[in-house]
Amino acid sequence: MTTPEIITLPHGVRDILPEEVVKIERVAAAISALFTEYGYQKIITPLLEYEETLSLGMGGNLMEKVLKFIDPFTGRVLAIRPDITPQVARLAATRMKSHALPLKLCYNDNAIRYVGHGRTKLRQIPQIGAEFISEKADARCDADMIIMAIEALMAVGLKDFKIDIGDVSFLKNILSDLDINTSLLQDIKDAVGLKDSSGLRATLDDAGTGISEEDKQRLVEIPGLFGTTEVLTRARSIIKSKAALDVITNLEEVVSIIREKGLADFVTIDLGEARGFDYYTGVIFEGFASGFGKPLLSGGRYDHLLEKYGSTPRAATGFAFETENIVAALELIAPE
Amino acid sequence: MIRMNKVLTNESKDMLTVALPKGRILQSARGLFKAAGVDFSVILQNDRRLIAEDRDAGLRFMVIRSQDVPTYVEYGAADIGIAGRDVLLENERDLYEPLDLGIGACRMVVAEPAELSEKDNPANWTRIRVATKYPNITLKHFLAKGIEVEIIKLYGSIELAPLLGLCERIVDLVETGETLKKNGLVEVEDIMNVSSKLICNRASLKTRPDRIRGIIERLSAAMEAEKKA
Repeated sequence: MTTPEIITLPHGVRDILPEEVVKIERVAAAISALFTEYGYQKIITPLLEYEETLSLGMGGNLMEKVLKFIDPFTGRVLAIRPDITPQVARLAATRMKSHALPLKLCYNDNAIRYVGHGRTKLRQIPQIGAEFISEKADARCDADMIIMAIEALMAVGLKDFKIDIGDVSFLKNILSDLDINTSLLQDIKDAVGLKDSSGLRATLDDAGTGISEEDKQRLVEIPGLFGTTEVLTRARSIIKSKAALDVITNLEEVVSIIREKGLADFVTIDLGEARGFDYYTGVIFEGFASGFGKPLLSGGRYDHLLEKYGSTPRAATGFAFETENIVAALELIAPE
Repeated sequence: MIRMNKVLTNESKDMLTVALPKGRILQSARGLFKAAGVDFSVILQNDRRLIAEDRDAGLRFMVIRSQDVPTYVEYGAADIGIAGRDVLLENERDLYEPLDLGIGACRMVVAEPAELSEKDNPANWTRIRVATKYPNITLKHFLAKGIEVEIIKLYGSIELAPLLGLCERIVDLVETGETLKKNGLVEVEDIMNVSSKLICNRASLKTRPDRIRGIIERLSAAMEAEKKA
């Protein structure tokens, strides 16, 4: 007998059977134990919110990926969370606003969003994340988050991985020193994002004399500013923008704190990386395992997100593991 | 569960896998890559072979259909590859595209029968029917101009479609324009220039930055040298 059409699941969601749940739980337990050790408290936020509320904290690039529908009783638009960080920001800005700082919160939940281009593929994404909300931002907070991410990956049993660190304000600061229109600005950002040095060169050649040849030379170096931590020294010799040099100084501090912990070998730098959510404001990072094509974790600093929910200015940074990718990366090194 | 092919990915971590497109691009890329220390002659010696290794250089080569190269590289089944700008824009994958190799240069254009073109003005188009191998690029191109387009996806011999009355216009690649001419077609709009690019998996670049940068820099130097010669 064939299965009736009605007993199937929508594309992008699935059941998880006992054998795999065991593996997921093992990963989740190791990470949660570490978060607890560092003083993080677990919270559970709702699956649904009003679209208006969610969208306060999410830039356009995330709102396009949200699964929305209309509540038949109130007529208001409801949205399933595509990401958990804005919910944590909302909670910290409202219900938990009088809690002592720093506020250390963590979660183990599912986000649902459309992925890929054309926004036709829905995907349920299990995430284990941590958020650190403080009065002021400094290199120590960023470094501590990255150290915790490294220790968590070691705790789950991964050895050969890298945490790649960048800063969204690096390119922004360099570009803000130049007098150029927004369409050229976007072309430059797009080319840098793809590490497309040929495309960047061509874009700058077409841009005419608005940008000096010297500045053009500097810009074409940016896609190549990735690799081991010496990249920061190389960047320092190329970059002239004061604000961008401050970004390098901060990253050097982050790296040196990680080095004191003896974990610098796990770190790479990429100054041309500016991907991720619109709410990022500073240091960003992503984790990659050798031979595994997808990121294990991603995170970064989001200093203005709480304000969007009515909070007084707060500094914040956080990251989330993609649980399924960690399980898959473990399978790759130690197949059962 | 996401599973990767353990046979190929697990055996040697120092191996870098290079995805190469089947066809003429491979011949034109050979000299450039050889000059950059990536010699894939080994896989060209026998065209039945789809995978070959150069253990001393720590390189593994695979030859696949050009449209599949970005897919293999995005998923990390290959670390780097050679892909045409047409294929990259049609499929929009999450990849790095560090270098335009300048090989396989051609253009993507809109073409129509010569007799139609005599009295036709593209500025007046509001709704057209177009046959192409590139439905996404075609859709984007015409939507941006406010033209409603009915797209007929074909897999080859696009220039036959107007002759047989399937559609009036086509979007396709032209190199010399000879094929269009032979089929009584003329170019009416230029969409973009196309050439082959070096592409790279994100995780590969992050976990083996020095190796990947070395290849990018040597290729770039080889291209400069070629330009001067």
